[in-house]
Amino acid sequence: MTAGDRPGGGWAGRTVLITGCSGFLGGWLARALELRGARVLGLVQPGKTVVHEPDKVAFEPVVGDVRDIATLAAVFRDHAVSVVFHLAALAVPSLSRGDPLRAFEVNTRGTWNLLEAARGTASMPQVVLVSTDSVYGESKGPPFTETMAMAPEFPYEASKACAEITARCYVATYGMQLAIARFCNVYGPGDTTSSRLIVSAIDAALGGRRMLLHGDGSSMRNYLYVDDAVAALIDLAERLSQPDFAGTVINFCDEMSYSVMDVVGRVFEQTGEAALSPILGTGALAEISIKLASAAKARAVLGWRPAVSLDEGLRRTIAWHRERMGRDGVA
Amino acid sequence: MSRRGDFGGEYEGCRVLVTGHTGFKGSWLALWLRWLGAEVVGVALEPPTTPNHFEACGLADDVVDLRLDIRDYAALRQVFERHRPQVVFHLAAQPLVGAGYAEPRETFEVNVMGTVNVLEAARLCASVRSVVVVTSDKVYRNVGWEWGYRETDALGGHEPYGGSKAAAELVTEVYRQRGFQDNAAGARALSIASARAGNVIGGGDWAEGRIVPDFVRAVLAGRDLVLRNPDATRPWQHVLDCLAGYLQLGARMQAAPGSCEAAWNFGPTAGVPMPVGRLVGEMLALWPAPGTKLVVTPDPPGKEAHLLGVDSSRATRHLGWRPCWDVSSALRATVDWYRVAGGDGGRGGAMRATSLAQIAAYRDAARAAGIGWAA
Repeated sequence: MTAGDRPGGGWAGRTVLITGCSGFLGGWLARALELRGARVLGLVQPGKTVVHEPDKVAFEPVVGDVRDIATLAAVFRDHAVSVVFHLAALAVPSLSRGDPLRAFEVNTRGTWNLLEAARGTASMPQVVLVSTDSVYGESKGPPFTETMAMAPEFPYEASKACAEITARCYVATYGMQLAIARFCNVYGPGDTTSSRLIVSAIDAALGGRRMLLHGDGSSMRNYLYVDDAVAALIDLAERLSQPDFAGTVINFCDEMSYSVMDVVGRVFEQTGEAALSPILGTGALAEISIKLASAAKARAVLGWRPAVSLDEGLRRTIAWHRERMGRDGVA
Repeated sequence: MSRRGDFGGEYEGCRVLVTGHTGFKGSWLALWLRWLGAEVVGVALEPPTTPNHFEACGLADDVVDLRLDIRDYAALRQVFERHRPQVVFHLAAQPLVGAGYAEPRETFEVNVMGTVNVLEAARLCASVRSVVVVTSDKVYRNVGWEWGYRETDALGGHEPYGGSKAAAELVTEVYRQRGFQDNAAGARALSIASARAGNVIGGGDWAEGRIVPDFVRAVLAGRDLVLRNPDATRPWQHVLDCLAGYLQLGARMQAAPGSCEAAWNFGPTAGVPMPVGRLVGEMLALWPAPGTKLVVTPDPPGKEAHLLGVDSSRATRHLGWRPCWDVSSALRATVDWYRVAGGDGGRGGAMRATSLAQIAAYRDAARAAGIGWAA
């Protein structure tokens, strides 16, 4: 049993809305909540295929886009939603650099659309907002703690920071019961976003190809297995009715910092392709070089700890990709 | 030297795009730019009030006067491509804290997405070299300090207006980073800075709920002026004081790219802040009005948040700008303006000469005080 499968928490009979439910984190969250007895509505973008994942219990899909407040308002009108997990985002930083307008439209405007639609209901639903430790910007030394100022340097990061500012205004002004989860890089089965490091490394390794890196492999990141992220979101949601909890911001990460080279090495090692060394890119990267957050607050406030190590998480993720390749004939 | 040498002569013949040029601050800025010899393209909604300073100065005939909602990116982009400005002053906003509570989404849409749209359109328009984004002193996280907030202090408004402006600052910060500019599609370098100032006073403001227009309306109608919070203090500053800062910031970026792309506070002269009650008393001394007296109906204590002030040391030290008119001078100019305007607010361009005379007087005072931007 993984952390995300723990029973209880009073979810039976509650109606939950997950935005961004076609993503892999949304899919796993839907499954965990359904196992707890919740009724899960999942907002999926028009024309977007839900990640192929037979283990997942089907949620009730609602087709719509967070940029369209009418859809969101209709969901709240038609269903007595008690909690929203707001995951919908343009979540790939490199795409946001190319199209900053879209990043702000989806990530920032999408958030105030959701919050405004939620505010307009008779019983204002609770909200868990998924954010990123990228809002801190470049690490200046010690691991990021939640009291540090946000200092985003790129559009994706800024679009999420702006979403957080919006959310905190809704807490302070309208008494919305909302908490913010700042995740490091979340990975795991079901993620097929090929621009993400672990996905592309597994693709290359299972295809017997050398991995092409964008930079020199020295960027430092921390990773979080998807089950641990799901547990974090549920833990946060279960605290939302506590007095003075609204507005709480918590980092969730494993506090381990791995270089890109290290992560790629582990993937190729586990797939038996250790001989295939990555090809290094040249030139400066338009991204943060070092990210490391502290999870001390998550431990202290929620008793949350990641349960799955990087090696174990990679083992499960690689196994999922192997199975998928066999299943879909993807090579 | 002639006025056209002010601000290093950067604005003579310069094509300047002003968003929000029909608003109170924006119309004074557009007028001043015209006086400096700039070609002005204005992008804004209809003037927000009747009467208003824009019509009082007849600015529609003096600038390229475009009606456009900055939430409409495609239309904004066309304006940039058609008019190819060199400098942009972004003032268009939902400017009222109270309206922010009532209409949070619209406030965020205009103030955050509007800023994204303006910066994206500016970035993709090769003629643009400098952009000044005007935010607010309410961008700071108010932690109850008695002393002024500095540009390096943490951002974070608690209510939708302040939050929207704090978010606009984050957007601006990203767009000014070379790391972003050099790596975005259509990469090119341009200068971007933000300016943080508070509510300002001056002739031609007719917004509801602001003390000076409320006073003027009361005097003109011969009714009493009701104050809820006579002991509250505000960082009173004349509109021309902060506009001089915006103009100098834009001029510096034009003349010396790389020298001042940052956030800048433009606050009023330091000193003992004046309570609202005394401010009204001084205005009544300047504009005797037998039909109007001050009536105080206090709010329950604790309703009004502690107001913050900004520290403008950085602009004073590095920009060749400092505040010029103290609160008495600012009040005198303001009351003079409204007295000339009279009951109809000076429609049809009737106040243009008065406003220009005040700009000239302000400029002469700045020159006499040896303030750097006044040639």
